[in-house]
Amino acid sequence: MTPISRIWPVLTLAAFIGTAPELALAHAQGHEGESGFWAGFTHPMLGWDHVAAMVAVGLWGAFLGAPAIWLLPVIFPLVMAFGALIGILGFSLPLVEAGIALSGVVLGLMILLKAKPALWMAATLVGLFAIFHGFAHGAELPSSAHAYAFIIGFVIATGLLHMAGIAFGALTRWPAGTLAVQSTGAVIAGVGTVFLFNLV
Amino acid sequence: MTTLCLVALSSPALAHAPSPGLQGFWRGFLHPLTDPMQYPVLIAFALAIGPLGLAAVRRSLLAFGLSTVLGFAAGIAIGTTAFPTGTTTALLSIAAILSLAAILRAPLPPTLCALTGILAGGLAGFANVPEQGEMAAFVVTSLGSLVAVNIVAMLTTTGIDYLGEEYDWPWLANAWRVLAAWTLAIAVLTLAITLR
Repeated sequence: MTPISRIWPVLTLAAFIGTAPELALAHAQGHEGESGFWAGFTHPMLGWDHVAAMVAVGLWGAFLGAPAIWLLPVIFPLVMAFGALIGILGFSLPLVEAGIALSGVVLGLMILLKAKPALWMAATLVGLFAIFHGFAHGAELPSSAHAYAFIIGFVIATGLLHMAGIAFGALTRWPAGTLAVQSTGAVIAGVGTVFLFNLV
Repeated sequence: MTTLCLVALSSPALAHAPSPGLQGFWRGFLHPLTDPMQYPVLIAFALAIGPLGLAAVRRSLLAFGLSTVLGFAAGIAIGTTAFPTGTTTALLSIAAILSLAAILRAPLPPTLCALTGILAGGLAGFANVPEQGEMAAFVVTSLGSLVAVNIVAMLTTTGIDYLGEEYDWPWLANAWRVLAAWTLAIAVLTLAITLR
């Protein structure tokens, strides 16, 4: 182990502690960046249709195993960024909310049925739904300087929801865990169906 | 960890006016840490170089450090206000390219590692030139910014290298790819709202 590698954890901690007083400064000066980040972070978290679909991506990835377990959470934010780009640039996309709800239904069913399609099919399906989720985030982006922090917030929140799904999906190594994950898939499909029928 | 620290601790970007003494150094130090345009390139640099091993890390960090000074000098000579959008566009474009390299786990040869450090460091130095002011205040504020970008680059890059060399976690390489995907998404979207 090199000297610089040995001291890295200490330096990181020092950087964290050293920068911490900035929190107080941020409160003293205003909440713009903070509220932008928080607004973006909570945006995917506060919509059950978003939460269900994001967790489903992670859960399905866990069911599919490598390389899908890491490929789906890589593909989703990239295509989501493309969808958000469409929204930011002012283009229209039909049936956005229906597409988001449908993502919950389809991905939930995939988990419930333990579906294991070819990797390219799984990636295409997840990528397709990511466009709708990204468009919704992009279209609702604040127009002020908060937008930068908002973007960071919603991308991280989306990724963390995937991680939560993957973590929960790790239960599939046990029979009871598999049943729990499949049941969660059923719940996700149910949530998606509720949102879908509220729309249609 | 460092990434999350930077994001969580972000405050409204401080006006980059030079201040004298320790406060000036601190204001300069915080500037790259509070500028959302600089996160993606610093993180993407670490994600592209960190997993390549210690030799690549050393080479890239050396190039990065020297280039921050050169980029900073260029910023003073040219004047950063002449290209406000251009600097941001370049920072985010480089961030997107480096993120993509990290996702693809591109085995960058030594020359490209050095070039990566030169580009990322040069742009980071260019983007951290404070506004004009009293010479002493300008110097300490600038010093703070340059120290900060180099510390962030060093901690994140060596951190990734350290974790890869010390721990045999099979999921770690894929975790960096996922993080690179987030960084790429952030860079592309930030670029979009900058250019719209």
